[in-house]
Amino acid sequence: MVTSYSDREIVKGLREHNNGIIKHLYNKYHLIVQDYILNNSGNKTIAEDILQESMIKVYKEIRKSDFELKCSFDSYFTSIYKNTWKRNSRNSSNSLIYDLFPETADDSGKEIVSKKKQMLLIQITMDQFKLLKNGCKETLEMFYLENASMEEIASQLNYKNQQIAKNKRYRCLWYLKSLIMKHKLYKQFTDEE
Amino acid sequence: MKNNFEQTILIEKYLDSELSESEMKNFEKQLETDVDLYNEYIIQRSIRRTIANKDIIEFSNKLQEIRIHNKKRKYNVIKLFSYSSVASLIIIFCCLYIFEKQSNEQLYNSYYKKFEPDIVTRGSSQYEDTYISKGIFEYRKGNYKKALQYFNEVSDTSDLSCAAIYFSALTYMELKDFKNASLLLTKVEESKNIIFYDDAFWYNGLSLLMCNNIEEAKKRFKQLIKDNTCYKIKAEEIIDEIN
Repeated sequence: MVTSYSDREIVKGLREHNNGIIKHLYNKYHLIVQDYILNNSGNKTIAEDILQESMIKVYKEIRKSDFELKCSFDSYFTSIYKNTWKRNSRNSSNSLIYDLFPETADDSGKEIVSKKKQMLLIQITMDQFKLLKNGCKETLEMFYLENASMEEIASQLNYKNQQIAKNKRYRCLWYLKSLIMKHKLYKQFTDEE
Repeated sequence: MKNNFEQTILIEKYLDSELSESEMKNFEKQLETDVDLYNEYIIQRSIRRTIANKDIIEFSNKLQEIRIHNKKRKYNVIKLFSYSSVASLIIIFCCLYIFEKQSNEQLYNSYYKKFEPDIVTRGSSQYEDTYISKGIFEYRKGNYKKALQYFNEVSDTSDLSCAAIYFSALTYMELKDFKNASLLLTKVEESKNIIFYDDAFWYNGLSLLMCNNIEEAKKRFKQLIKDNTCYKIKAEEIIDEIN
């Protein structure tokens, strides 16, 4: 069993969601981060939150195509978790949803959907997305996740032209919305709080 | 709320900034007065962002699984150390019976330890983590049927479904329903979920012992030995005892 990884393997593993590497890093830094947080007026629960939030931050950087590790991974991650703690200790709100969706409000800054409902909708969407077939998953992922143009989508997924690819995207999105509305927990989203 | 195809296209064009200035103003005016359109707009916007961040959400889900799994392990280790002096006596006691073959039930009772978790959901981004937390809370109180109800609420397509199946299996073991426990643990084994993989083999081996399915039980313990897992020593002891 591999017990240590090079920095290059770590970066590649994180990018590819390699379970072994993710688990290895989590377990490696778990006590290190915990010690740091406990020595800085935090507690174990917060330490786990900080560890998770830091690992997500690292992943968000690594997933960028132009990411380059300019020092050791250990130094990089250390600076990330320390900065995360400093920021969190000043800011009382530490919901992970803020990092995933920094705009939980509309552009005017007003919160339009509660955090709880946001998280519910995200998870319903993730569940129902898995049920998509017939090229819908690929079309929607290419457009929203990979920021591919309609031309690229048409070419890669063998649609006749861009307009057909666009219509496919609209149909798939509409279908996904209908699946979301059929999810057993969707009612909780529409109920008044 | 309605799900109108033409409306879907209109919302997309607005979010992609493909509307003319007058069309955009009209749309924004409609948003202020048409509740259905507004709700569809919110959902569509959320869907776009969710898909755009899908990989981050999946990564976050994996971390949460590891966190849950580690809490379970931590409490097993703490119990092991706190009972070390008692364990020493038990070892001596067992040595007196070294030539006496144990029954399956005796073996099970010797090696089975109830899971005693303490799950924290602070900072979690998943509503289904709440079901798992509630299920484990009821499990700790001994309300096993209620625990199962909560675990069953986790969707089959959720990233936490494997965790829900795993904890359901442990609950069945407490209910002495080893047949169902084994069925569920076999599903966890087949999923090859890295978090629960070894534990699933271990508990399935014990459940199969209680079902008197010795050959299948032995397969699990042999796999745990072959993979050099943390259960290796206990698995070797059980195999010796069975043989």
